[in-house]
Amino acid sequence: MTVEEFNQAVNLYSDGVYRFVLKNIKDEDKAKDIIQDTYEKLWKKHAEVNFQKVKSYLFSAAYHTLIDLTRREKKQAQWDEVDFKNHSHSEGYSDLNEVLHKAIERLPETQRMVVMMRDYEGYSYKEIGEICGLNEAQVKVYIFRARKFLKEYIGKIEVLV
Amino acid sequence: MMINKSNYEAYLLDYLEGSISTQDREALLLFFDLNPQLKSELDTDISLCLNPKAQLADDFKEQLLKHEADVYDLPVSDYLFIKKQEEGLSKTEQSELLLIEPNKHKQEKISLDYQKTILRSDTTVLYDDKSKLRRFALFPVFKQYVIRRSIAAAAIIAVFASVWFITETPDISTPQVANTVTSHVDELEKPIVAESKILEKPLPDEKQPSKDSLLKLANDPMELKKESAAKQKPASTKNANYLASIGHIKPLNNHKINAYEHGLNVMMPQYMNNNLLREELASIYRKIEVDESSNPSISFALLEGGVKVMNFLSKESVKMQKYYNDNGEVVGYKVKGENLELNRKVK
Repeated sequence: MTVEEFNQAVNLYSDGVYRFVLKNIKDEDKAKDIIQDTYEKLWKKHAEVNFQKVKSYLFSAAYHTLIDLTRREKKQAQWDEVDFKNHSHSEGYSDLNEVLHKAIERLPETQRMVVMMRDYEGYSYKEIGEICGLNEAQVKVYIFRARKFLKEYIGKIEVLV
Repeated sequence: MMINKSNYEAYLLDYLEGSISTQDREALLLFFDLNPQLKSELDTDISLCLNPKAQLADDFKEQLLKHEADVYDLPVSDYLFIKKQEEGLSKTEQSELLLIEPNKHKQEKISLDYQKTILRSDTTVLYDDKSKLRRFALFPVFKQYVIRRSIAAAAIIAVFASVWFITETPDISTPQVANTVTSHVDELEKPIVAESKILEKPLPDEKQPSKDSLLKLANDPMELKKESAAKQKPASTKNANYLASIGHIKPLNNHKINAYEHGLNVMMPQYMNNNLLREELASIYRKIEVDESSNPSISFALLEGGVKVMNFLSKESVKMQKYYNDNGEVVGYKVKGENLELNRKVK
């Protein structure tokens, strides 16, 4: 990949990767740091990475950084656990998209990321598998289970409303 | 072999299966004629073997069968609806779905529920620091090793040039030191070229202003000017006479000095001058303070003169500001210099 192609990758994919990261961690500064790290990794390997696969490379790097981060934060959070019972359902839901995004937060992290890649970026099972280091069947299972959970969650909220 | 009651069953089984020989068959029938109470065994039904085509119980088989939906731990209907949305259904799966959910209206509703689970990205969220990520290519106009070699060559040339310059160029920057002891006086002696010009210039043996002269100048600057003008004439005539008495001027010999000595030569006069000025100024202030208590008007005049002297000697801009009352009399003053500030009332 040339420098020009690298810059093209910045223009084409940085927004998408940023949205994907931001939806996962809900922290703009951290999301920006991850994007910078991701592109730094790409820059170090830009000579080896094919431009055709750069999008997958970016999502893969961002995904793994996210996984590392969330695991680290989980460990941290075990020390100071929050009383979720008192904080849950305190917020109001305005539209379906908001409900859906609340629901997606409740999914296990791999399911969440896989569904996001599928819906936001339109990746195939195979591509998602390559990004996340899973096989196609595993990706499919995660997506199907996530869909079922989301449908039930939305159904419950609609009944409550 | 004779057929008897102990072995007739083996022959009978062969007979029933149809695999007995003719000789054994005749012997077996003869045995049954002799023992008519056993003859009924000839009609025994031997079709008791297991039938390989026999079917297992249908419900047991059903339990063993697995559906694709089991891979996902989902009910078949959910699996089919999700698959319909994700990938589409084959004809078999469509008919299966129709069997599970024959009501079309219900089918549509469930499909719609699953459509709601598709996430839509917020395209207004953009990464605004793209400029930080972009990289710039350097065009290889010069190869790095060429640049390095040319820099090295230039550095070597510069070193040689500086060495040559130091050794060959006459040192015109360093001051010359007078040396009256010369070995080749005759060679160096040359006639006076511009005696008249020398006569015009004052000799550099003028003394630094002393404490007394400064105080005098502070008291009456105009008087000092007159004195100096009066003194200048006889001094200049004296110098002229002295110079006229010298037949020849011996040129000074060049004596090389190092940079440290040169620095000292440059710095020392300034340093001494500064020290002298500081002392002089301190003594003026002391004098002012003493005089101020005894005679305010004299001290004020002294101060004014002092400020002028300070400005004259130090080249500093020491400012003096006076304060007047309604009658136009000076009631106070403020002296402000670079390192000092003084406010006083005139008694």
